[in-house]
Amino acid sequence: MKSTKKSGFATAKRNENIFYYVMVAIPLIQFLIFYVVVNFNSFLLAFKSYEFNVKTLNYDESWVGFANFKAFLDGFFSKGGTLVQILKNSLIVYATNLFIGTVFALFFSYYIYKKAFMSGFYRVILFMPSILSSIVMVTLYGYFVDRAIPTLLNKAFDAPYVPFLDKYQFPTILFYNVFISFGASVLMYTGAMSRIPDGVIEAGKIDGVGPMREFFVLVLPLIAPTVSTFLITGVAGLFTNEAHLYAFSGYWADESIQTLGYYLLIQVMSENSSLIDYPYAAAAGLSLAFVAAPLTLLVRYVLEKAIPTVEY
Amino acid sequence: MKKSSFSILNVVLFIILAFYSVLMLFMLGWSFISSVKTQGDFTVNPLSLPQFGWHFDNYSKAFEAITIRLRLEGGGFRDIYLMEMFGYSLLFSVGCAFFGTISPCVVAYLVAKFNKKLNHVLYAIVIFTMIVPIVGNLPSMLQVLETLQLHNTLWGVWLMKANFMGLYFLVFYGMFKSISWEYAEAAIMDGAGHFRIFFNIMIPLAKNTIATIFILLFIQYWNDYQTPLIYIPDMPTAAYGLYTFINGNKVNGLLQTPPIQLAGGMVLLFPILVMFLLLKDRLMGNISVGGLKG
Amino acid sequence: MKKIKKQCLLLAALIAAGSMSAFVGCGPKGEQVDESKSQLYIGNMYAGWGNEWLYKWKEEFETLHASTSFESGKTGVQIWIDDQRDAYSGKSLLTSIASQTQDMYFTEEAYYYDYVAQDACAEITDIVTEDLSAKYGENGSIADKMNPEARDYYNLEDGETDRYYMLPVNETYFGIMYDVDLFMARSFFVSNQSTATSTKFTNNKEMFAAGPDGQTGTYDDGLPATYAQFYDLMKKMKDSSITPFIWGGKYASTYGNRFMESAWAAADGVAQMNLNYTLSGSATTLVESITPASKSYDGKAYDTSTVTLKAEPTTITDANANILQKQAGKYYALQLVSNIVKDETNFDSLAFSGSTSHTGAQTEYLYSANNPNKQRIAMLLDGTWWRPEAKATFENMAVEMGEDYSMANRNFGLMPVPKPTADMVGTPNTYITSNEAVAFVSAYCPANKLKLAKEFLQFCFTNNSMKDYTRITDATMPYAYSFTDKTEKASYTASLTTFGQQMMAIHDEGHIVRGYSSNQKYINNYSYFADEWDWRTTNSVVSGKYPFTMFHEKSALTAKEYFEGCYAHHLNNNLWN
Repeated sequence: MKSTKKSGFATAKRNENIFYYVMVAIPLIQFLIFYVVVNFNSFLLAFKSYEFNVKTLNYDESWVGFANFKAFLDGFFSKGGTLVQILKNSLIVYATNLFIGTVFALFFSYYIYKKAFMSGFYRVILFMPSILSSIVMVTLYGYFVDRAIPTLLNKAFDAPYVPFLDKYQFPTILFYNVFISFGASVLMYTGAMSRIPDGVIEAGKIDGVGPMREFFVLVLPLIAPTVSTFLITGVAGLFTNEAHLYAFSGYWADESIQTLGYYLLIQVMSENSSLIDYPYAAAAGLSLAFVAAPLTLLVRYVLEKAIPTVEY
Repeated sequence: MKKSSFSILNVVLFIILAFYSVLMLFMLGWSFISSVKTQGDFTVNPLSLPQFGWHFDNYSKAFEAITIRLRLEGGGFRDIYLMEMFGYSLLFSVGCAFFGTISPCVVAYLVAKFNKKLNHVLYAIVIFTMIVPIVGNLPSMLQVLETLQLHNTLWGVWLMKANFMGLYFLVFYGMFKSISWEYAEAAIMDGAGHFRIFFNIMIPLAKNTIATIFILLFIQYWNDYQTPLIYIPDMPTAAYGLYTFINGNKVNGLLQTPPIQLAGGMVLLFPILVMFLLLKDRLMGNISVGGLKG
Repeated sequence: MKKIKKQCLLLAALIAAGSMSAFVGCGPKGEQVDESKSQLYIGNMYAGWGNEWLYKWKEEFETLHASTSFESGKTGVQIWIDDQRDAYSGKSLLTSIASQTQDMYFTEEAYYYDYVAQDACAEITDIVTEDLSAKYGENGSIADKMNPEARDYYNLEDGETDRYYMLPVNETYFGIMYDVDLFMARSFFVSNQSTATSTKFTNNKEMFAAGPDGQTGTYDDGLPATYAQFYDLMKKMKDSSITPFIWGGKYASTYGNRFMESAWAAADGVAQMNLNYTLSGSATTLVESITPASKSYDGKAYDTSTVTLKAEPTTITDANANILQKQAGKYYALQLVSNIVKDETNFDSLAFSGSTSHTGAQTEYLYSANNPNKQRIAMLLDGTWWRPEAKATFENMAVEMGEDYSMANRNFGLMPVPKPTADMVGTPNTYITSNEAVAFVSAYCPANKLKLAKEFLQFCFTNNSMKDYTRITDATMPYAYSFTDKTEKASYTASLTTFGQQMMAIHDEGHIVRGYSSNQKYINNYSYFADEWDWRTTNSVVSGKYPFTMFHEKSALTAKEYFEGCYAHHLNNNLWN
């Protein structure tokens, strides 16, 4: 009896293993080929330097240790370093998306979840920007804020004609980033809210809880795990979000409005970049990851402590 | 659920959302009106209704002008028109969305439901790849595809996009965590294997999430012009066609104007808008991300 | 469940409909492939210059070789041109060239050393150095007639043999485009009756002043000779309800930087400007001090500070070239631009609109000739490629508003940047080329096509092809044109548009900064010199913006502060310590 049970357990274990490893094999191989192999050189590049050799007509490679990393860090710490402004912009974009984008997304989701007046229409409208291609969307928005609105203000209030993407370029782009951001987040939050058992809300109603308190005391804690997932994965965005600057300005956005994500993008793509710039860009990417990784873990740790787990 | 009663919060939210909607609809409406103007009308009268006539023929012009010329193997060229591009768009988007949904779904299921050491590695990979920005890997990606003889093939892009990393892994992970294992245990009692449990029990339970992610990915790939441009140049999708059109390739004289470009944008938007309105109930309210606690 | 099925069915139907339609409406159109001829495939970066010239070359070459056999069993040639802007632009093409299928390319923004190091180009030394007398009746080879600076750059000789991989196609300049018809109609030309303190205007050609080059009978007659005259001209325009400027606000920084580079070169001249690329030579225009001064135009103070130069020349080497940041031309360019930009009445309100691209600005500029809602605009900041680039807008305008507005019926010119001070009038007008187009044979061109591809490339640079190119595009090529005699030269010049004639005159005068560098320090820090060198500055008021946007946003910022910030910025760079 004992032995059959053990062998039954072993068989089950074996079956489980077969299933697990068969199923995981293809995605894992995909990862090894399309991520590890493809990106391996990018990692090594960070420690190299290129010099053009006139005789062989080739770039000579040499290992330079952390020189590229140092060059990147100099941008923050040396006198006249240009990256401080860019970091500031990234923080502003991140904070705007977090405090304005996320907060509004939560309220909008709550409105839709409560099936309030016209909520069906609103959820379609909120999702519209996600289905329009970003080239079309940015083109529309650009013409709209630079021509339609200034003309309107000019005709209606005799205001001077000032295109928004002129002196208010950065705030206008920030607004755009929030404006189009509700598609996926509202989808996720309403999804989470819809799983809240009706009983919880009904119980609150009986206790005389108003909508504001219902939102903060009942709904928010119950969808906290979902929100925290967004917050945690969003940390990396601080370093990778290019804030649609490419769509707005191509490779020529002023440094005063660049974000770190955009800065990385143009290092190797802009008109006057060359192969010589790749090592620096690779090192810059890795440096940011070195900051992003612990920061992400820290945020995760803090949120885990702050948000009580609620079973329902 | 009962309709909620009147409250200040709802009124405030209603007003903000109304403002948002007006802005959105005004933008779309303005774009539509601009798309039937002449270039001069658009330049001289940016805000008014068309003054030089309603040029609906801008649409047929855009429709005809969105072409990509392909070099044929044996010599010569073939011009590809928008209808054929829509075909490639479907093949590209459906394939990429399918594999891009299945892959995280499978791995998330394994990590959520089986207690294996490898789970930690898989989870770490997901987090790591979301954080680390990679630059300049395009040449090596092309090289790998060439080596595998997958460049310029649909299989190549489908495989490339079949990665399990990213936010959707977390969505599936949260969802499978919340599905009780008791269903599986009952099936095991009945002699079902793990494959049957996964395909016959878990997938149907997860169908809403799968469908939603599939549609989200489908929309994303429908609008993606960069991937087809680089990896399947011989199968130009509609987004790729529109991109080259807006960027002024093969400029056909009178067509290089903002109104016709806007018309081109509307042409691309139309099929996806129809699909979206048909499937909006499926898309809305069936997805959620759980906590990140592993 | 039922609902899902219904939706799946719908989706399937949609997919099916789409896929079915995939086989409708396709098929080759226009020219058919003739299997008996050799086929040559060309990728053309379709940007400002268009493709008309390339079709002309194709036609000529096909006719010339109608009975030549380049491959066994085939007679004659068929050339196919594929136009794409992004896919064939220098950057994208380099990453994807191995999987592209064209035999040769015409592209822009291709960095020569990157292309050579990546083995993207086939070597073309043989056709570049081949004597063309037998084949085309020309004296010498392509290399012989190539501009010497271009030759030094493109010939990567290893001490023993020449090695060529690319050929430069054209000479292009960035600057002030002006509406000649408007200048005539409104008498915006400077008269020879002007004095040092007052500028008079005229539209009588007999009375045109000599212009910045100080010589009458040249293309710049009647154009402002000094900054002061230029400011007077802008005031005159505004007094006549004309807006002086527009430029593409979306790229205000980069277009502005290019314009200022032109102004820098115009003030310092070829020899001094070239120091910025060679990093070796003797600098004679370094600023010792700047004495502030200003003059009021309609209540706005324009900066008219004067410059004192260092008395002794400075020897420039790899080690101290950052002192070139003190070049007077650089300061003058900043002064000119600060005056244009700080006075908002000088430009159209879309000049800094982030959604108005260079083509958007072209449209506004052209349509302003007949726009009831906007003042007419006199000048556009753009490159010499702007007219072919705006071809569609010209055509539309002619259809909508009449033939008077077609490209053929409107006249534009390139205004040389005026001299900063009156005592500099009479020095040559200096230009700087930018955005150079290049041609090369792909390293991936099949072996059996290589001979044909090279033959065609060589053909493109023959004297006749060059003349066709200039006639079609109004742009010159950086090679010596030859004419049998003065009459042929005169009749050829007469066949060009006025714009083309001006380009030819600039080409012939040859005061052109080409921006080539073979200096190792320059090559190995290319993006630093190409991007940061010109206008990057360190200053408490200036962060991360370039002069145009900076002066636009901070009216308190002076050209002197910006200028000193540039020197400070490059003084701190590790490259010089």
